[in-house]
Amino acid sequence: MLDLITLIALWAVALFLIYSKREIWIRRLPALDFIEESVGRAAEMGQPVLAQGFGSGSSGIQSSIAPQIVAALSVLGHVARICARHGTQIVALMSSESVIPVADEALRTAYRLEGKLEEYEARKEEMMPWTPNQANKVSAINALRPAAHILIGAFWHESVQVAEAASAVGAVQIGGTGRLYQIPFFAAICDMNLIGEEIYAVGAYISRTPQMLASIATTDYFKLISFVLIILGTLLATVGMSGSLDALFKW
Amino acid sequence: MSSSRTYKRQIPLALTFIVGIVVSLDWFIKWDPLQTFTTTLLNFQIVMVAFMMGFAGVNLVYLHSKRIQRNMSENKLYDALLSAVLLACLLIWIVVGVGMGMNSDTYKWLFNTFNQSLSATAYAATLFYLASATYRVLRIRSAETGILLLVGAITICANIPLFTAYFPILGTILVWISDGLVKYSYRAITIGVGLGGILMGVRTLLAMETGYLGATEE
Amino acid sequence: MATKKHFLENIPIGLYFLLIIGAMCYIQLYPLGLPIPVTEMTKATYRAVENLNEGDIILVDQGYGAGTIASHEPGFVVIFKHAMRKGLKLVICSTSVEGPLLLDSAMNKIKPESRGYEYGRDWLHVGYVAGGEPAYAAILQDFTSTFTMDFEGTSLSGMPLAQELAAPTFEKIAMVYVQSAGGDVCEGWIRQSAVRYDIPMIQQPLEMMVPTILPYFPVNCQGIMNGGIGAAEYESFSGLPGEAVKLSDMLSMGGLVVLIFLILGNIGWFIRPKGGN
Repeated sequence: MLDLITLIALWAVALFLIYSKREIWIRRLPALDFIEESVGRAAEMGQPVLAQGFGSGSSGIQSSIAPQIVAALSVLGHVARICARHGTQIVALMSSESVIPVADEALRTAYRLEGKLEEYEARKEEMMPWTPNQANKVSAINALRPAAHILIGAFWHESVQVAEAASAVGAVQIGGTGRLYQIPFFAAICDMNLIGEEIYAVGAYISRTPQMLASIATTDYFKLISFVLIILGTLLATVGMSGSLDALFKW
Repeated sequence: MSSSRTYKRQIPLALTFIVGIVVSLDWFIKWDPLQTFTTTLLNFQIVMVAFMMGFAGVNLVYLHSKRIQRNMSENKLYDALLSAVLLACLLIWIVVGVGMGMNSDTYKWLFNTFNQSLSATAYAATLFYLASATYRVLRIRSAETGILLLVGAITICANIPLFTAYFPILGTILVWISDGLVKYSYRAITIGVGLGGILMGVRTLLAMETGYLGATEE
Repeated sequence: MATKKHFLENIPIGLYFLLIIGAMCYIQLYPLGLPIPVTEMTKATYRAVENLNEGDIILVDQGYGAGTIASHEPGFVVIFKHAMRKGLKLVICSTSVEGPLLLDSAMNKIKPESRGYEYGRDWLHVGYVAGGEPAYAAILQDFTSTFTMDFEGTSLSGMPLAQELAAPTFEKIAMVYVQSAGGDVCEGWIRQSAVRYDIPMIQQPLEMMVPTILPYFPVNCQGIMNGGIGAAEYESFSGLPGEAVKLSDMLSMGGLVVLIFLILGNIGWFIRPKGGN
């Protein structure tokens, strides 16, 4: 019962903030600001931009990591527009078949908005190769030699291999994932990072629409509530009264 | 134009909302007809995912066929040969798998001889990339990187039976790091990621997040 | 301006890799046979299986592929053997496409017939299930509507174990055992079985994924086997020796070489002439 009430409360607060049209400020995310710079670097060097993070195998847009893939697709659309504007090649490595049509639509829209749809139609197979496992990805990196490598989305054990392979060819890398066990690898290897739920702020950061910003603010309010509950639970457990909080959560 | 917009955006958005609400309600409300309907929807989804794999195979054939054409015209014979080998392997696997079945001796021989060995090798390569990254990146440049290095070194030592057999204190330190630091910091990040995911779901159901339909038009 | 790297920071990477391979090959030929300390997580996993009663059903997600077979197969084998010792029943599905094809290799080591275990009555293999987390939910709600045939194509209607799992399946399952190289498979099963239905669960993720599953231990996940090392510990603790014990020596040597090079790299960094970045 408590989880249902929490979910309804979350919806209510989100809707209130979204439709209240309040001015909401979110802090800078240096990693996202760096994207334009890295694409510019790729344009100067005449090398492509590589994007990854669109799921893996059966973990596609239908799976529990769909929010991360949607965030990755937002980044892809944003990066694709910048690349189309600069005339830089962008390649998005697809690992999950369910994401291919969605990524196709994202890239097509980005190129159409920049007035370069014909360019996309002529080269779209090259822009979205299907690379289901890490060996394919590493060989794609070695063949393409990207100048910028955007690793925002969902990653598995291939994260180390692809990040290190791109590092070896001299690419600047922006990493970000909500999959916790890959965060340390990106933190060690990539030049800029987004940690955990920062990748969900990408859509809001790029579009700056009030609704998106309000949903980010809602997340923060609920994190604050979680923080208060954690402190309360710690204090109650210290005095030996954690049973009452357990009973509340099991209700 | 408007009928195209209806079927490309409005219908998928409506379906997303209905299915999302039904499946979410099933978690909270124990009602047999709802549970049966949800189970049916989930089974539909399993079937759709299986079909998507076929779609990926078609994409692969299309992509590499075009590559062979392009590479042959540009005289890049080696690249064309690699794509041809891929298509030949795909054909062999399909013929053997569909024709003889996955339980046939031929299919199992192909799998054990090629796929299993190559997959294990590719996966094992992770060790070398990790080792290379560790050697190249982990330097004591500052207090933070020093702590990172120290914890990393303790973790490596504690996961090596050679050290823990003679220095059991390493196991105790690792347990303290895991249970005292890692577990609780990961719980905090998990809470944040979970909340972010829920709000992403709310945005998707309310048609604010349309990334899965392609980029938002401006 | 960056100063030149010291040679200790610039040891050829090929030499480094050769040393790792050489060390592991050496130890295969001349094993050290070191004792394996058993961690509390492995003991908790053992206790979780030991606390089940004869006839209880374990739902196994044999979700590993050819890449991680060295870590996961010994874990699967030792848990199956332990289950047979307790008289438990096992229903095996797989969230990995390659999993069903690798089962033969494991079953050849287990030899269930030698302990009187009959297929269809005491254990069952239904093969790959696509669909991710919705599939886990469907299995736990109604197993017999999600699977109508086993992996060989035989109808489940004639198999007593399958009929025991008619809806609501979650009431008939005593434990879920998940093996996966992908952490969200592990987390998905936790959400759908442990959180939703309070079904006891043990897991065997890869070593590098254990920190992510740790937050769920021991409340939602009663036991975690730490990849191949955890399987070696389990074999040692349960008295059911297998192949994982041989792995631990190789892990030792590989890790030792990595540690030595880590130290050398940092020595090179410190003795590099001042002014370096």
